[in-house]
Parts: sequence; structure tokens; C-alpha cells
Amino acid sequence: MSGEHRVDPWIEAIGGLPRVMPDASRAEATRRRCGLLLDRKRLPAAGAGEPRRARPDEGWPVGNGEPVNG
Amino acid sequence: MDGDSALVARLKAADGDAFDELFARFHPRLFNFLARLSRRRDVAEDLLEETWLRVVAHAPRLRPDTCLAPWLFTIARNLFASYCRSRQVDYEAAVGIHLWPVPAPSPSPFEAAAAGQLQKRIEVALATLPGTYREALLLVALEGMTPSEAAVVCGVSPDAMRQRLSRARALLADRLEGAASVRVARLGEVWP
Repeated sequence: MSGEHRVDPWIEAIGGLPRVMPDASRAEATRRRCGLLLDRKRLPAAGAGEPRRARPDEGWPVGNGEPVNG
Repeated sequence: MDGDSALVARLKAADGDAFDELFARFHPRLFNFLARLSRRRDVAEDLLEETWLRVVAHAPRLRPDTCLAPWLFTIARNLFASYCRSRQVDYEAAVGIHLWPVPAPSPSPFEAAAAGQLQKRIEVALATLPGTYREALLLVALEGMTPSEAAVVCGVSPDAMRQRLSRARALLADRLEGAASVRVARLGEVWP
């Protein structure tokens, strides 16, 4: 904060007000939701429009319809 | 904020770790701002979630020289303004009466009580200020922004923001000192 506003004791007192903390579980849910949205944004660019390939631990058909891992 | 450019570049690439870093840095600050602006926890939580969704939506289009704090607070502030419009709440008069959590304890009970009293008076005085003055004080005094950064958030010129801050300080001091003089007068009635 600029010194210009430090001279006022009431302004300093506002700076000393206790922080109001957000709900932790809701914060985590929001962060996860945004993380999923970011994943969706990133994947099309990485895959250039092709279906995503199955990860080794995925045993069901993905993208081209061919089963992976049997 | 020169330190923002690397993080901005990563956000533009939809880097999840960059988002987590941004979230950790700003989530509590944005909540604090929205909660004191709206005076309602539930509204602040809703608006904050919407703020982050907007961040994700707009991150790929960020300019490389974006300063993140003013950008984030602008989104949050605009969402609150939209909320006021949609609910036909007068932005200038948006004052709710909600109790805040008890402040962290001070070293002694006397100091805690005195600090608590002062903080309560400030909270009440702040809550009764018109919205434009309240947001100016919150951004500069509580969030530590420069008047120029606060001006960006509120969509006004730096000069207009300085004027607004000056009026806000005067109004706040007037209300706080007015309340104090009333209390002294009452004490005088008890202790002649």
C-alpha cells in the first residue's frame, strides 16, 4: 500500500481487520471443478482433434473403438 | 507486477499447476473482498466460484503483460455489481447485518476486548459506507493495492480513485469519530 494512505490511522486499522476465511471444502470443490475444465481446454489442443488414446490402466474401448488391455 | 508474466504464460497454456498456484494465492483474498463488499458469506462464496470459472474461461486470452491481482479483483467486483443489478440491490446501499467470526485472540483479555471493540466499530462504519467508497477502501487499505491498481479494478481514472479514497477516508473518520464522541458523552452522563 502506498505511504499516502498509511498516514490515516483509520485506514491502518482497516488493514488490521481480521481476515474472513472461505469454506475449505467448497474451495477445494471449486478448485477441482476448474482443474477439470482446464484439462478439457488443454486436451483438444494436445490431441489436435484426434480421439484420446487409452491409458494403460483403462481396459475399455476409447476413441477408435479398439479395446485396450484385452 | 513483473512476477506475473511467467504465471500468465502458463495460465494461457491451461496449465493446471499454474491455476492451483493462482488459486492458493488469491482465493482467500478474493473471498475476503467479496464477503466485506456483499456482507454475506453465502453470496461471497457463490460469486467467488463464478469468479474462478470466469478465470478459467478467459485465461487463454490473457495478454502477456496482465497484472493478475487487478484482473482477478475486476472480475470479482464486476460479478458483485451484476449480482446487485440482478437482485435489484442498490450497489451504493448494499448493507447487510451479518456477524463476522470472532477475531484471533490478543495477548490479554483486556487487549482482546479493546481490539474487538475497535474492529467492530470499523466493520460497522465500513459497512455503512456507500459501495463505491467501501470497495475503494477495501482494495487499498485491506488488499494493499495502489490507488492506480484500484482504479483499474473499479474502472475509473487514477485521479478519480484518489478523490474517491479521500472522500471515503473522510467519511469513515467522520462516522468512527462521531460514534466515539457519542460514547464519551454517554460516559460523561455516568461519571460527571
